[in-house]
Amino acid sequence: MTVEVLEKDKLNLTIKIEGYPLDLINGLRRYAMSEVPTLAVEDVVIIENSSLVYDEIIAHRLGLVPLKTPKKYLEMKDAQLMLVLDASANDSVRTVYSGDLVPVEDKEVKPVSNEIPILKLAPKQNIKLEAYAKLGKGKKHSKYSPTSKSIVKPTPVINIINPKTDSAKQIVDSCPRNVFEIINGNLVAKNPYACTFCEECLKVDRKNLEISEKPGSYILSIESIGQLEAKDIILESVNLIIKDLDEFNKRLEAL
Amino acid sequence: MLSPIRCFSCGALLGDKYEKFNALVAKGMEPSKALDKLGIKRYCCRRMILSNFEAINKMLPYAEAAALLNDKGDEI
Repeated sequence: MTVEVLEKDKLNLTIKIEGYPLDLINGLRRYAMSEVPTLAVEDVVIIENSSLVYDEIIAHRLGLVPLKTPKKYLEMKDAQLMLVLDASANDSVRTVYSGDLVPVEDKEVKPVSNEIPILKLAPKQNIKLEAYAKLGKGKKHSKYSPTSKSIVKPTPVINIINPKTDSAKQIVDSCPRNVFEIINGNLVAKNPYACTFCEECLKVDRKNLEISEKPGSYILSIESIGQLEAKDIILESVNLIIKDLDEFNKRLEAL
Repeated sequence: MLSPIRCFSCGALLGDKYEKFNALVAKGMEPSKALDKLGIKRYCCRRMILSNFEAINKMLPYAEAAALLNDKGDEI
């Protein structure tokens, strides 16, 4: 049973997992998408809006703005944090950005990016509102989902029978994921984990290539939107699975 | 009406990238290269940026004119 990191930075995590059942890894993937809670704007109180954009459109856009979620809030189900937006255009058209959204209660709960346009104001127009961020799960609304990409695939194994084949150049060109490369006249599968089993290369040369799945080995790939770090999303989904299984166990024992 | 904040299909954050994309294309960069540079890999996200049209820019001039008229004390 091994876990190997293939790619890791703040927002991306790709790991190769061997010896664990697919059901468990897929559970992890699904929990990362729809059970890990994050903060997002849920209620908006519009105090003044003389802009061209309707109240409900502004509220919807505010909801979609991802907010940084410090880990301490993951346990606080009733957390409610206020943010304030107060902007007006004087003599020229002004774009109101997510950076103008000021956190009142916790300075750390702020938009992931300061450059998301919320609305545009013409001269003499004003917008004034209070937005309340609450904790929620991806299964309730996708604005709460911390991941944009959450994928499990079997580990590809690429076997090149004759590396000096005449069709080497065509095979390299046929692959949309740039798996192959020619090094010193030999065809090499340089980047095998990028393979998506599309079999475009097999259409070129079926005799010299074999593509198969490695039994019991899977690649889990997570991309975070920014509320939480990719590593924290995985850790939190593991915690949540354990918590749910414990609860399930207790119910079974009580039967 | 305004540029989309998230990708409709995958939910990735795109709101802060549309203006950067426009700036790169205005400089003469090919749209596909600009998308690559901004780190937009999947085609669900790429179509969000490529096919976007900001209709609010067509309406803003009327609001600007209204503000000017108000200054002069005329009725709109």
